[in-house]
Amino acid sequence: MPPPPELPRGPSRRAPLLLLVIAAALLVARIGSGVWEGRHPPDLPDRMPWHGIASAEADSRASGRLVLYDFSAAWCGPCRQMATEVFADETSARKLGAMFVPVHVVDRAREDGRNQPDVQALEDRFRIEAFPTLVVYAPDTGRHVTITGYGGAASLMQELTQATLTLRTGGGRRDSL
Amino acid sequence: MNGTLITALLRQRLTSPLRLAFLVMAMTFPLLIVAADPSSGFAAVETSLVFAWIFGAGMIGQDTSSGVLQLLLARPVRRDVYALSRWFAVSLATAAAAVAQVGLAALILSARGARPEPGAVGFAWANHVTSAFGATAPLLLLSTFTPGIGDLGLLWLIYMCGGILQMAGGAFHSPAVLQAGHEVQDFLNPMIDFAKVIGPATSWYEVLAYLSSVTLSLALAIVILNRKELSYASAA
Repeated sequence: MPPPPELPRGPSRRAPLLLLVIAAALLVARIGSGVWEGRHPPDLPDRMPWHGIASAEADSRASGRLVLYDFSAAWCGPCRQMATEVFADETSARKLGAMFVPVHVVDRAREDGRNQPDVQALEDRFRIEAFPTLVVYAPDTGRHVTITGYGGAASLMQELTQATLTLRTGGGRRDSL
Repeated sequence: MNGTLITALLRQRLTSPLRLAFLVMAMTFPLLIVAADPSSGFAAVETSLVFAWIFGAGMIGQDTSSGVLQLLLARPVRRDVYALSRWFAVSLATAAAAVAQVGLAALILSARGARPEPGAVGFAWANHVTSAFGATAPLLLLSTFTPGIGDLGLLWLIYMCGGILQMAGGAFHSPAVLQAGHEVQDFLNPMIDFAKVIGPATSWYEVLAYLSSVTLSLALAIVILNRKELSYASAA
């Protein structure tokens, strides 16, 4: 009869000390790098062909492209993330520039106590309550589609394509003007 | 890691009709989207998180509620080895499914005349494999708290809370609350976007956040499992 296999010795509950130490070290490094990268955002060029608020609707009618309003704020982390991943990316910026008349609208209410009148008028018109918010707007029909938040470049591009299809087929919400 | 535990879990998962049905759906539908709209590229096949849920739901909880865990730990099996083997097996299955799906998507795209760049396929594979090993770690942690597949419900609940925090942060112009919401969701779905890490704006935070979430989840899962008192007379 063969001898029984040797059973492992020692308790069945062993504290994962090494793993805990590594996890704690990585957590500290994570917080540190998060704070550092937040204070030192990458200096990437904005490749979007932004249009002015005043001329956007006329440009849209002239070119047949929909208006894309990008409502953001300086304090908004996801807005910076979107700027880095989408607006600084050559391919995405070129695609968005071909699809839309893009307009960058920066909220300054937190910093200055109030916004410029044209910015505030747009925020009231599209009922902007959070940042980032993208509004795809068809001046001819007065309809729009709102995308709130940022869930990554790929999903944003999908949402924008879907919004364009919605507006081109007569869907979307009427603006509050 | 324990080879027998890993094999046992893989066999268990691959013989569950319900899980297989969900697996076929999660595998097929995104590929149909790719076939219908090749311009979407690999965006439609970002399903590694869903594969992680399919293979991972009830990683420990199901063994707890069925009484298997009590019997298993009566044998000379260390709890940390058990937990890490469960995580590794689920991650392996998730990664294999995700890699296969990306490969099939690449074939479909090539057949539809939208042949992806080799670099894009490589990035997609790397992203999916890291996502597979990442998404299963918090699920393991949550599985130590709840019986059955309650871990999945708990995960969705916490994920929703993260979303609510983000909405509140955006609405009340609070960057701290907004960031807290992001951190909650990032913790539950650790992943690395290699295009971003290798790109012009290298983010070390991306890598550190991933590693931190995975190691913290595994360490806490083992600590909680070590503290768990199992009784043969207990229902849970």
